[in-house]
Amino acid sequence: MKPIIRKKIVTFYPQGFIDTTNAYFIITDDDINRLFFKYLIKKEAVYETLIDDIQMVLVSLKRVVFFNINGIEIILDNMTKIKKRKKSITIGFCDYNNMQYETIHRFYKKNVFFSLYKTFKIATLFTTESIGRESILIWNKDYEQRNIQGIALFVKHYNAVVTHRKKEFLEHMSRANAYDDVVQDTFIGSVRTIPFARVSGSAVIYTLTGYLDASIDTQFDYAYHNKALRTGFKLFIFDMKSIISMNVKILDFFEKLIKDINKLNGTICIVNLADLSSLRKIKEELESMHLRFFKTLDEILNDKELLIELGGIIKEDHTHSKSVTKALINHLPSFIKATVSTLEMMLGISAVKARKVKIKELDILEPNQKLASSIGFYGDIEGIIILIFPFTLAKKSCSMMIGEDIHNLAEVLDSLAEFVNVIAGRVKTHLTDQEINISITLPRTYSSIDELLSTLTLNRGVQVDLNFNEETFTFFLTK
Amino acid sequence: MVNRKELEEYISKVPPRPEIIKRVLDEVEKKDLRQAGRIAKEDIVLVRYMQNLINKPIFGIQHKITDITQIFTLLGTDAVYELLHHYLLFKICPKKWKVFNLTDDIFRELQANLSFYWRKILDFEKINDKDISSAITLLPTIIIVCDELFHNSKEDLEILSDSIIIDYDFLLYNLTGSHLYDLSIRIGEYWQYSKKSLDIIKATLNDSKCVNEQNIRLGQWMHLLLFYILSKPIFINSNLNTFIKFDIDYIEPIYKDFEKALGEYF
Repeated sequence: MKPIIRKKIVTFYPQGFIDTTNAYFIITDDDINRLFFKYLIKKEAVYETLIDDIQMVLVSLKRVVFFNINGIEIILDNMTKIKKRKKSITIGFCDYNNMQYETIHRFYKKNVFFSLYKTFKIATLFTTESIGRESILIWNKDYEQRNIQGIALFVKHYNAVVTHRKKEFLEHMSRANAYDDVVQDTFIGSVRTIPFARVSGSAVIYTLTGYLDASIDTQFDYAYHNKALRTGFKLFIFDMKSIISMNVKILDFFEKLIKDINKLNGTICIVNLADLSSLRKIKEELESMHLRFFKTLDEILNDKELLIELGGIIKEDHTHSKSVTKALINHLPSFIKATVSTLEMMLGISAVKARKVKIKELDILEPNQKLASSIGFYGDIEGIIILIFPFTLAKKSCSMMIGEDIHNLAEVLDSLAEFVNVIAGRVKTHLTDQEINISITLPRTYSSIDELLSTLTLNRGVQVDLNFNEETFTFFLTK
Repeated sequence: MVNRKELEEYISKVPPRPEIIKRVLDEVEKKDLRQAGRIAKEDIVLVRYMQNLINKPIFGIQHKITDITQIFTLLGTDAVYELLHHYLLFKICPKKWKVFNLTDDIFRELQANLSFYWRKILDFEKINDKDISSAITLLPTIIIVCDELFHNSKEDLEILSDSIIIDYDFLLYNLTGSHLYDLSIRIGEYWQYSKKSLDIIKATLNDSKCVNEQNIRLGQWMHLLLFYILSKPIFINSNLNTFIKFDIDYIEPIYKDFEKALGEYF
């Protein structure tokens, strides 16, 4: 069965019934193999990694009316095959009702080794960074679970509010619009130190938690790390705020990493390590290996000179770089084709060029009642795509994309991010066909042109205005 | 992508009921199955279709039957009436399926499954009515129509399906204002399906605005049955499991009886 890949989550959506006879066909070996790509290093060694930085593989139970334990067991066996090849991946289920949640817990009693997310949207909180420090209310009757969920969201920069009593939770729930999301009936199955990685500017930040020992070697996502190295990242920061203790085996781990990083004049920094006597000896050893220690993460990220010295440069202002490059212009047809064909497909109407294609400052006709979204890309070429939609056009195309009616601005903006992701994904496919490799950043949406212009300082770029039934849509590509 | 004009063009090209089917059905109405069999023999494609369908394992016939008259007399009038309607649909199947991984044989398997389980449900509901039993034969038109209307967009839809679940019914409705079921009904009307049959197909969709309680219940059964069958491995592999939305809320009132209705076959 073909899965959907969104927000670093692979989701299978079976409908109807799941039992022994059909469960083998929901996630097949072919489906699993398609999630990995293999690459060769130094001729002899073949490595593999998951495509699209996938972090979770889930089966949605939204449209499953019946399942039995044998069916669930077969699905989990197949998901475990993925986990064996990529240890850091989370496997489990989402979009269940209360009865399904209780049934799965009853099947597995205290041995729920997989994760359960009440909805797909809740699962995405655990795979994507918060943009606006959204407030998330958490309740789980198991104290370990609620705290693990709180930490997992905290490291993603959400404002996670963990409630410790049902009564307290219900009180919080009764406050209208106090929270952006509520996490309940959710279970994180894999309770161990998983290195969470995120990118800030040109620095990769790994957040380590718990007790660090030899197991880091099997839990650390080397494929992700190698990809970051190949992409050109030079600064790797290990945030050890939640480290309780570590043993000497961690030295072997860092020795291995530093060998590769040194070749590229990169740096490893450690931040937030507690000043405990039990950690001092190891800290000295790490310093002798030329790892650099800082008290806080902000100490690095807020100091541009230090960042440059360490190899990480934050690019906030796009005007410092060139406007569109020749390489970008060469690939303009790929960008336009992906954008126009996606929109035409969604809307069922053809695009008509409204103005001549020009390299210029962004110039929006009738800026009122328009929404925008942007997505960056980096790799063999880099730049930023900005799409500007009239509200009605955005509403219609997003509604077509998610397969449900959309009613308000918030829903449109949420889906618009997915929409620009789809377009960027298609651009990526087009470029890959030409052996141009790019990675895509998280999409952003803007509820007005003013918001777009106040958030991004843009260079000159290529602007293409297209009419869809008299409504003007704008595509803008810049660096 | 498909538009209203293409949809109307497709519908206008649906062939009428073949003359021979009309003649066979007339004899079936008169309950003269021997004469019906004799007429059916004139159409070799019909004979082969019947032989193939009736000998599917799901019908549990132990010895292969090849004589069409014998098939007719063994099945009885209602079942023959149903099979002849299955044949009508088979005649408009795409020569080469493009959207779904289907073959003629898998399509016949689907028809056989629908008929077999629909019969169990009607027995459970104590309904013995040829118009109601033959309603099920019209249901697979949604698959045929979907493949025919979307086959030119297959490549674009393939790319899109990396990121979203494609609900072809929702897509068609937004592009043309018609549901897949609406097209089934138009084809059914053209082929002179009874009003009773068409009303059940209408009620298969939750928002059909149907008020007749029996039709709603039968529509719910049909909706659930479709997804019970589309959950079978052969149809998951044919990409049929997710092509339209399964509405769990709609079938909730009858779900508790499903296991009882299917009995040992659940």
